[in-house]
Amino acid sequence: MLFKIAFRNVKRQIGGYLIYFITVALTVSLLFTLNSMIFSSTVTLIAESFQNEVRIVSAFLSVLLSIATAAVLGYGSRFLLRRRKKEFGLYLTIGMTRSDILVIFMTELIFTFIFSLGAGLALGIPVFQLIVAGITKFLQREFVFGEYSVSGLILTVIMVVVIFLLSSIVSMVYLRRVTVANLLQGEQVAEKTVRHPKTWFTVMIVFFVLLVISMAGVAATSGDTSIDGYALILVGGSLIGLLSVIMIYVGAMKSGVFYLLKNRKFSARGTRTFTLRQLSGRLSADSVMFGIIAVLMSVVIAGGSVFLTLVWSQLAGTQANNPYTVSMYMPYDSTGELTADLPEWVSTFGTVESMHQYTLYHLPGNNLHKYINGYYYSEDSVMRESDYLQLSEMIGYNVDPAGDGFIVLCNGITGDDWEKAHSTNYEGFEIELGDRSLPVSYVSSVRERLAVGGIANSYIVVAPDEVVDTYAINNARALTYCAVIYENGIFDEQSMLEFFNEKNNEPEYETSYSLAGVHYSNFFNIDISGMFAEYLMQMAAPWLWIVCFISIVFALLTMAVLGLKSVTSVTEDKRRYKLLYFAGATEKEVLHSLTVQLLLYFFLPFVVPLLMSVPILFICLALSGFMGGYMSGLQIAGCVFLFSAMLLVLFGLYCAVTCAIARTDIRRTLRSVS
Amino acid sequence: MSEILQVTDAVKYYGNESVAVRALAGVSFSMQRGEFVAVMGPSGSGKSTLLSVISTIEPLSGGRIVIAGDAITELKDKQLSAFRRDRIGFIFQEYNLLDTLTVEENIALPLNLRKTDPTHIACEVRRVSEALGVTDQLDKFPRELSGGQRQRVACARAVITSPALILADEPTGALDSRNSRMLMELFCMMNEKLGVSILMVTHNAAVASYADRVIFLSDGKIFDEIYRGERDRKDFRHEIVTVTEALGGEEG
Repeated sequence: MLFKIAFRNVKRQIGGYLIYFITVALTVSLLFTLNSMIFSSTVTLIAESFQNEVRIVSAFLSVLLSIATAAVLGYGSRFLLRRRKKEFGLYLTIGMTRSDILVIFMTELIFTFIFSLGAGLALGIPVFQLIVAGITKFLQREFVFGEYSVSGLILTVIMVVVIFLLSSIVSMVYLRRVTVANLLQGEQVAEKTVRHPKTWFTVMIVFFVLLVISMAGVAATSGDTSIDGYALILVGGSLIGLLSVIMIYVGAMKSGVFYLLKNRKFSARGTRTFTLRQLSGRLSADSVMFGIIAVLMSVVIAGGSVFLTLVWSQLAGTQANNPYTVSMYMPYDSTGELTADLPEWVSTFGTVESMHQYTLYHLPGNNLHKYINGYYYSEDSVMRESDYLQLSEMIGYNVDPAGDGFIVLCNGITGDDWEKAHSTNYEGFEIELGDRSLPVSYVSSVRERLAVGGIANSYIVVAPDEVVDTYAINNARALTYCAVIYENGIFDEQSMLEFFNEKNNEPEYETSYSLAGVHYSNFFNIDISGMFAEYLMQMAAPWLWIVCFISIVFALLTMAVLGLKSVTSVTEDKRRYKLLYFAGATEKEVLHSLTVQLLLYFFLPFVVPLLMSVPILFICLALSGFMGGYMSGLQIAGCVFLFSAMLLVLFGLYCAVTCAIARTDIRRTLRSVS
Repeated sequence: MSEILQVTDAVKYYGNESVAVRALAGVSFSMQRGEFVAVMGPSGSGKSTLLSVISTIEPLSGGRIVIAGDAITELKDKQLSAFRRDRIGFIFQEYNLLDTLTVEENIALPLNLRKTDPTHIACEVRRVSEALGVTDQLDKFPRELSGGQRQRVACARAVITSPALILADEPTGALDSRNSRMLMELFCMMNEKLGVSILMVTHNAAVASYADRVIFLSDGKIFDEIYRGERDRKDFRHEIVTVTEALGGEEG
């Protein structure tokens, strides 16, 4: 009989259980994805270097998710119970024992969990493939079909059972302790009058100003370690900013509605007074919770955006620093004999689209570097104009010749070098090359690093060929470089590395050598562009996985709490909506008031984090600039938008479901009296 | 005096086709503008149902009701909401004040819903609250008031739109005898000074004796109807008790 009641209750209370169902189903799908990651052999294929890290991170996240979900569902079941207090009170008065009621409620939860488990697993199957596709795309690998594992499935089911048991404890304790009178009459929640609204309004303004100052401080120091007290400003500013967010919410929630109500022109219109009064108590009571949610969401948006900016900047920087598929350097060979076979060797590993060998010469004095930077930390070098033109053309630049002067080529890895080279006034500055002295013709617009390794440094002087030829005769310190671009970047990487390793061991090519006092360990030094990027992405993937995952889980569970709380309060407020209807409000007006309340309740915690996106964007721009400025403002805005949009979608989903449940509930109530 | 309410052969069934309960079995009566009418009868006689159908909260199963010239049985859902808001004032046993709103906001609510100009709302709230003696309570919440004060506020909210008819469902049900007497004196004042028409359901003869006329219902039909005329309240009450006893019913 009890099971029959429970089953009917689930059917009847489907609205109340919907949020519970969605939360458990989404949690199951995420758990299934994580557990599949732990056991699936697919991880070996897509992240061979970091497979252990991915597995450990997935296991950690899986446990974290289970505990967090159990806590939230335990907290949420309180609202489900409160929603049905009268019903349970009635059961007690007709002779049921507390154990009977507990059996009914637990059976209802078990039904919900079973449905959610099924739906979650069904959702988890495509979600896992989506995640695998996302990771392979991120790692620029070919798509592989994610392999499901039975162990992952079993672990998911075990975890769901544990979540159920942990979350049920709260319900058990509640039903054991609550009195019949309390169940039947309900807890009388007294409406608290807002006290000291002016003080709270001042608090809000003061902390808003503090927030702006702290964020401006953080944005100004981001990435610039040369500022005094850099770390203190960054950490202190961030902490003050986060505290300010909480206090802004507390101040706004405790004074905002008061001032809106005071404005008769605004509030004395339709159901506005009712809506504001409904919100007043709830917002005031939940102001700290809203502040904390806003802080955590700001952290999610800021953390995610900063992380993505760092990874992509690094990636874009790596690509800009390695514009050719392969860059090589080796000892200077004035006869050309040592490297005569290079084109043939290189072509055996793939279809060569373009290739160019050139020489870089050391330029003593390092005057260019000193002139631009004001001090010396890196050597200057010089290359032929024809080499510069050809190397630039290989990567799609159509550059101007040097004319009667020399070209400043910024070959550095930081955006700082680039900015300085372009902002320097070269009037009256000349470089001596042998017996010639040349002024600056222009600063090259080539952003990519043309020469990698050896004597190639921050600034390269590009001079007319004949000038370099004359200078080179007497200059012993030089290296030969080779830039190769393979068609579509495809070549046999492994074979190339093995081939040149063998060459380096052949007696013909010395395994180590010294040039002008500098020791070099290998004859052929090879930099493969893709290897850096791949290594970087494999290293970043587990962290990106953590950041995205924690963001989604946090938003999911927050929304579940807000949703369950809202649905319960709507049930408790049914009488008020009925009275509003009796007072002459139409059904449309009553439902409008309800929707406005829910929308505000859901989206208010999102307002400040959304506004925080602006300083976060500036912080990311500053960081990107410091890391070479390889990302455009639009790309960085995209990073910030990605995390904001992700949260917004989840908010929208839960808000829509809550609105639908609450509106149906109230509509039914109104129609039952008319 | 013109007719404010005309009920013609009102029939109301509850339930479905297989099991139907007849709550009203052809009730007909009319009420003049400015009249104060009480409806009495034993439990299940149909008094509350009569109030529900007149207030448009329940639809009629048969018959016709006209309030201030509008046949409410012919109005559509949207028109009914507007009609309820603009032409009828409600006073309930449980006061039905919104606990989240202050007294002032509760009184002003019907005008807010009408989207009346805020300055006019403030004037009307002041006028009505002065008339009903709740001016000192305007900033308080309902929980801070006594039962009698709450019912005064409910009266103020009911009359602020100057409705054609005020419907009161056991308004003294939750009040002690002193507060009940004071509320009835307030009803009389509203009726005489503000010219409000009142239709009140009660099972208390003392309360009903304040009305100009008492209609007795039994088994969904009008059993009897008595007028106060020039008599004093005591005599009228005596007659009400006599009719109630003839009905075999309860008198509180």
